[in-house]
Amino acid sequence: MGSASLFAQLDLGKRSLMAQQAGIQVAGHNVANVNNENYSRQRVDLDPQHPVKSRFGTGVDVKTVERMSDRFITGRLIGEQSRGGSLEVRANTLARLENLFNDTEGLGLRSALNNFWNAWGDLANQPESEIHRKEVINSAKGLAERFHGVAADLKNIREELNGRIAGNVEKVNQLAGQLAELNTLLQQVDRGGGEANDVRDEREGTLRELAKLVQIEWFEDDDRLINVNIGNGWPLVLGRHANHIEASFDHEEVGLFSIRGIDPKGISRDLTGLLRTGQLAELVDVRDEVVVGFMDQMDLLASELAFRVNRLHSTGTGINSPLERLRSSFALKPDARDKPLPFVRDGLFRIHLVGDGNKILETYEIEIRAGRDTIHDIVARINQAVGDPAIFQAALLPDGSVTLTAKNLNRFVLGADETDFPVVMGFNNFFENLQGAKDFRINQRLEENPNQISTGNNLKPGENSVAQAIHGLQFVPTMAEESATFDEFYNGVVADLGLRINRNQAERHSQDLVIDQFRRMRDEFSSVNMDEEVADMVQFQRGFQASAKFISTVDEMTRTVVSM
Amino acid sequence: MRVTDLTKQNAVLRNIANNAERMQTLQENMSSGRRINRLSDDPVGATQAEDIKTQLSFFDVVRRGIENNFVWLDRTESELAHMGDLLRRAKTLTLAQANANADETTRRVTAREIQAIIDGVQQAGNAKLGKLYIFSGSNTFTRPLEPSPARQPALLKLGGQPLRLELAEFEGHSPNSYIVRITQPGRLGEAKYTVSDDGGETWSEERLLSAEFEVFNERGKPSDRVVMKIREPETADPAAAVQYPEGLEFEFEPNPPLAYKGNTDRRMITTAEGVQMPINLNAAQIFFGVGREAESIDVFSLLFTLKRAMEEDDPTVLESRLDDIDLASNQVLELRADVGAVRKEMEDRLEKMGDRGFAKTRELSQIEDLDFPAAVMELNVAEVRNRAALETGARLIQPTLLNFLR
Repeated sequence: MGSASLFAQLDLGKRSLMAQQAGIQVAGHNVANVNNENYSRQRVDLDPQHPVKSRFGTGVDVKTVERMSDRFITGRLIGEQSRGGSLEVRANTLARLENLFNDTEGLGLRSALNNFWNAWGDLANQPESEIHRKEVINSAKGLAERFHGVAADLKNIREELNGRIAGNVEKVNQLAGQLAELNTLLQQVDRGGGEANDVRDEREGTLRELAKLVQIEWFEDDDRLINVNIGNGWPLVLGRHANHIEASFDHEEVGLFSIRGIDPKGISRDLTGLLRTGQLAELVDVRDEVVVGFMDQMDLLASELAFRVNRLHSTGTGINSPLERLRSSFALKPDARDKPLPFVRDGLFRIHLVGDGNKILETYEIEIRAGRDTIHDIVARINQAVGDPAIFQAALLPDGSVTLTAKNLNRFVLGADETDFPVVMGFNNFFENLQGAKDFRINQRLEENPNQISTGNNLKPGENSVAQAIHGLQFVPTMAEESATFDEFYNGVVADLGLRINRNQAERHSQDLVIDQFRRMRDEFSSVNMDEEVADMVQFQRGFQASAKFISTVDEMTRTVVSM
Repeated sequence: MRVTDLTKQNAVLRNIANNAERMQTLQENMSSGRRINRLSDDPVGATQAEDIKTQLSFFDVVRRGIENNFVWLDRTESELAHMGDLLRRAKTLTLAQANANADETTRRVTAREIQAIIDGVQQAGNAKLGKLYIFSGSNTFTRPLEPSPARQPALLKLGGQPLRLELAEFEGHSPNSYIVRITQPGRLGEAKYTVSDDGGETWSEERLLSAEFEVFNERGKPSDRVVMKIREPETADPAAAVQYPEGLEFEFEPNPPLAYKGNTDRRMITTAEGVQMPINLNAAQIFFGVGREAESIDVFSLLFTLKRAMEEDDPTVLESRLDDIDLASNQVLELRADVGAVRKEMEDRLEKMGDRGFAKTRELSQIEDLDFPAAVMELNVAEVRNRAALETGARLIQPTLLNFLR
């Protein structure tokens, strides 16, 4: 026979009701989460009950609630976050740098440089002018200000990036901990026989957030727990346990963080260079390579500019140049005094002894042999050339600086030079900086006595060869192994920045499109369509009504039988 | 393809954001009037714009230099004109006094006027522009013309070797150099000497050596009344008097009445990149004819000679020097023409640079400035797009099935 008993049919009805209810509940759950980006829609998996020992089926059963999630798309979405994070950090930093080098309002470094050259040009055309000298000082101060500003801003940016590294390290640890907790939860739910669909959604979301910060390798192990490695296979999350990373102060530069991973045994590993992509890795790269690159370029510019101007200025004379005493700007450390003086060339340099009325009384020629003469040799040779300490004397002071002193109411100026000795030691330099951009400054004696600014040679006030030469430096290739002028070099730095920004923008745009595409693929598969759910709900509602009708029909049939 | 609510939302939002970004860029450009507001707008264009600005400011420097130095040139020219006038007056006076109608009295009176001319010429030569002497080369704080001392010790030479002996001195001014040579040895009063005023080519007649005598070569240039005085060391013994050997020479260095204390440096100003022009003359060129290809003359020596000739009532000297006055005038006038040429050249440079500056400014505008009509059109298009995006977006995300179920 095989027809089911009435009670069996009631059972069928009951199970049908429950199945429809489940369908509505799942639909309701989907609808509630329609705006949840991390949510993967769920579906009731209904299984028809197959007949056992009979011809007739016995209803439906809820097999499982399925989570619609595509592994491949999930993996790609997580993976692409890292590059996106990198590009975002880079864009922010480059935008900050762009502001620094923006000169469209005429307040930048290039304008200051222009003003400096122009001031020298005006002075060259009227070398006796005191007003133009003051203008030269003014423009030089403006230039120094700009150099300081740029150096300070770059340093600030670097420190900010450093701070953000610490912040990101915190976030990574937080997310790793979250992941471990979710793993634990998942295991509990699994063991309890439930479906951990929502936990999986949250896990996925956490992984995406983590991937934005640092490039991860992740996989699901046999217990369906997620393990995460960063760097070169260093384990960040191992199932229910999370290791942590720390921002430690043991970077070779004082005050900067390096990133170390600490495992449970307390062994720490330096991960700083190994993080590949992601916000954290990019912050390190930008802090240590990109910003430093710009700092180096600016230092190079400042140093070479100062050296070239100094070399022309130190052996020139102005309208009131003769001095009684001159002390070198630079001092030699004790161990450098016995070695040959570096950076000087073979040749002669001259000192003119000056008497009343700015007349040159006598000229002393001192020879320098590059690579052989120490500072002691040179000082001795100067004194030997003069021959009389009562007239003029050179001396090496205990602090390593050198003084030249004219005695007996005489004064002196420096004369034609082939050796670079004056500019190397810093006699009568115009700029006095040692470290490049951050300490770029004018010789204070010249600031206080602008009439001592050199414009010509040999005390001839109308002679303007020095001022002309300094003005002409604007057009001389001095940078990049004498292939680019100062302006061309600066242009290179600035244009490079602009092009990098554009390139980054393009890459970001393209990366956005890639992520977008995977998003859409994921949404297509996993996200909720309200209209679908509403239609499903209507369907399940009808099913529920029909099942209820079935039950009441069977119930009537039962009553009929009972009242037989 | 399954389209979900999230997909629709994200798509609409992204499109609206893109439009908003585009419109913001347009707004920024239009409010600043520039196409390039930051580096990344056009990196290469930005650096080109900077280069042009640098060039324009260089043009300004050159322009200022030229304009400021017009004053120098104008002053130079006016002083030279004044000198030319004075020399012309001197010629007129000399002509008049060389004439037989003039006499001792008129000549003496005119001599004072010649002195006034000398002073005027000297003043012109020492002209100052502000605190700078314009005829002193690069020694612009030093007065170019200073009277030189009348006396100089005689340089002794024997057989070409200099002797360090203070035996004689010369007194007087002359642009010539003289050599007094002992031809016949002996003591004062016995020895004989000759004089050369052209470095030894021509020699005067032999004369008897005395303690004081006028040095001149009657076969050579006119005398400038230079006197040589011998001072032998004091001794009571007549046998110890100095014996003058044959071949002993006393040399007189040129000693013009006014000497030049400046230098011959040119004052250079920049007129283009890497190009400089000299704009100055110095007193040596004007008054001593230094650097002149044609025959040169010492103007002051000439004027002093004229004055002395008038004081001493000597018309023949006046007559003989008339050609020299013409020479002096030419020397000055030619330099004046040179100055005029330099000024013209600088005016031309100024004009040319003005043209170049204008061209560069136009170039700058093309790079930097916004093409307004195009931008306005683009703004209109962007606005339309924006509206369309908003409208269609609204229409896309609003209706759901729920609106239609009962």
